[in-house]
Amino acid sequence: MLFKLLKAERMKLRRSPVWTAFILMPIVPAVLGTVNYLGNSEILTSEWYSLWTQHTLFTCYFFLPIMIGIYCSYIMRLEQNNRNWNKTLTMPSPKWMVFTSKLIITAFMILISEIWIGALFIISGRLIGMGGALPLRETAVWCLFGTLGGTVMAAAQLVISMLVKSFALPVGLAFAGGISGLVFLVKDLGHIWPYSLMAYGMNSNSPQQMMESGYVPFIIICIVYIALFTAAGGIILSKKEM
Amino acid sequence: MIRLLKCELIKMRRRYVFLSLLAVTAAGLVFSLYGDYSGPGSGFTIKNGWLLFLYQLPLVNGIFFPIAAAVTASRLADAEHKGSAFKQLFAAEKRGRIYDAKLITGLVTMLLSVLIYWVVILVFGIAVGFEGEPPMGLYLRYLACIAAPTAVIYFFQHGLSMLFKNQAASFFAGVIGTFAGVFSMFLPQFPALRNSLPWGLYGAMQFIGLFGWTQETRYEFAYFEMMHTEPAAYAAAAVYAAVFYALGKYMFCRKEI
Amino acid sequence: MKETVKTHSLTKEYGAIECVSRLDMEVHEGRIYGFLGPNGAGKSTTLKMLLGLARPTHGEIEIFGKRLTNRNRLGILRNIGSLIESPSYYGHLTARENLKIYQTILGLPEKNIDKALQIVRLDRQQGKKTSAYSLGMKQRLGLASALLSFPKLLILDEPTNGLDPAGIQEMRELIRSLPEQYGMTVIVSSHLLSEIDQMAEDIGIIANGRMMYQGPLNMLHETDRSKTLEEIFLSLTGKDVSL
Repeated sequence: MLFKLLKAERMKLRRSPVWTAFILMPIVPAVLGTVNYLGNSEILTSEWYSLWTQHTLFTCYFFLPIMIGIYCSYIMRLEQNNRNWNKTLTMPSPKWMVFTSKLIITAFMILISEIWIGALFIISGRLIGMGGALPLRETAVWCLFGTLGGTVMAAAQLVISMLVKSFALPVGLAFAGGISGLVFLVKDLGHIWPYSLMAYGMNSNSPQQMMESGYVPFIIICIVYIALFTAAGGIILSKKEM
Repeated sequence: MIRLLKCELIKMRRRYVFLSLLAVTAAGLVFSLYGDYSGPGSGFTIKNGWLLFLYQLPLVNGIFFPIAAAVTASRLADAEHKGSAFKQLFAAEKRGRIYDAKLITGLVTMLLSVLIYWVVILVFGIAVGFEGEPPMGLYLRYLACIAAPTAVIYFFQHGLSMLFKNQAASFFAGVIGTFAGVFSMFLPQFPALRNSLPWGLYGAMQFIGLFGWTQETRYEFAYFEMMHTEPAAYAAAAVYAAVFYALGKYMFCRKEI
Repeated sequence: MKETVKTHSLTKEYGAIECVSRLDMEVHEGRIYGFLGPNGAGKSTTLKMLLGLARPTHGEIEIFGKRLTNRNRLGILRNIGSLIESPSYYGHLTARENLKIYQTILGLPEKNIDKALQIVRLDRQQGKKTSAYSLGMKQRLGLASALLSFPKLLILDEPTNGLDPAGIQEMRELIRSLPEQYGMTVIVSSHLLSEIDQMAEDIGIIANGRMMYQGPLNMLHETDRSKTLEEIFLSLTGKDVSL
């Protein structure tokens, strides 16, 4: 059933150019972050790590959270428009699965943009003649963990967008969430606050951060949050009165 | 026009437009004011607080006022898109006036938010005990320098939100623009980039600079001073405002419903 | 005769307001049940409760001889097609793509889409974006998606809304043919007496959330031959009926 729902969700997003934004957005920090790196190369001495920070610092605190917020609002808006909930909820599919399929679609979008961010990072590093071996393994790990942390955020945003029928307000909350993520990270609580997990996973402000605490707790926390928000989403959907 | 503005106010009821704006302003304030004001390392901050803010805040403003503008514009326009109410409104009123009435409503809300932000910043500075009197002249200039780019960006967001039913379009445009604007502020070697991006104007209009900071001595010999700003920034703001307004209104009036 | 839908004392309260009040509904298999009532009488709310889109405050629902519970809801839904309130559609997609979504979820063969489109006569315009459809075309699309699985039970809420007179006539004939052709049971609601009169075999009249009359339509005609149906309706509901 989940597979069928996923196929259906994918069809709903046909002909909507929303995904292009996820391709365009990472180009901004890639180009300007690289230029900034070159301009400050005497201060930024950790080479690849410094470049990674330049590429991802603003991305994962502000811009990717907002993009995820917009995407989740868009996905929920599709159902809120033209009474589509009526039809979606009278299909013979469990409600939590309806929520999960939307979450997986969003997670996939996050994964695509993370891969793109990683690719742009490697390419721009190469282009400016960065020395040493390509940090392929690290980049892959950061991007995968970023996706996982981003999925937590997406799950929260989907719940919010489902409850708040406005398009803009949840986006505003995603923005506030991103800021809260920054605050919690500074307070060393980044590994437990849902809106910090993406930045934490991507290691955007200190590359060794994750190594200290280990991967396993991070993955467990992400999965617990995703499960919690999915359960909440399912419950809200089944209590929903059309 | 007054009648239309009243209508806008009625439509804002129960939509918490102002409340959500306050929330975003509050988030922006948390983000702006978060820092160390009493610890052992805070001496420099307390001593130079007033100028430090004028140096630091434009970047923060350049992130959250554009996002707040996108949120506000979208919320106001979405009320009509969602109920397909433009059809009815168009039958009752000239399109240009509808466009203007919503624009004024949103713009006033945004400028109010800027004002609240500015007042809280001043009160905060006094409360934590920044050295000396707040330099009111500089702060009034700062107020103008955040209000102007915010207004320009609001013209832009308003146009997109009114034109496109799908609010994701205006948001994505705003987010990508903001992103480019923020980066432009980190690239002092390319002043043209800041001046030519509406979102970079926050940086272009910044008039306090940090001097004497080096990697070795850090803040020991650092000081703040007025710095040169390009007049082009002010011209760009005026041109952008006019173009966004005229183009948005023109296209809205010709839009097929 | 077997009952496809049966409710016992079905009640829905919103706060202190009783929107549907102790409703006992009986819909017989293979029949067309006309659910008649003025606007705001509780028709849509009742139909939504049958579909699980709203939860009853009290009472029970039996569909296909089984009590509707959270557990068997999905199995029951599999055999129901519905069009509630106004039609659902994704405006940026074509009619065919819209139906493809439901066909995928329901796991139906592709040919069902062609057949449904043909029945509602949208086959020629299936490639057009639905946001550009007229209200009548959207209504037809809504019907097509309800018919897609050729379900045992079809629930249609005001299906003739927005159709032109020719379209209304066509829709009536179509609905009338469904039990015979596909063995469906149909519940169709309307606030128009004349419409129900021409379509339904059984009728339930609801006003202020209460069932005022339920039974075969011809019985209603026979109860009081001196009165017109409009007069009977008026006396039952206390409301003037729009024709």
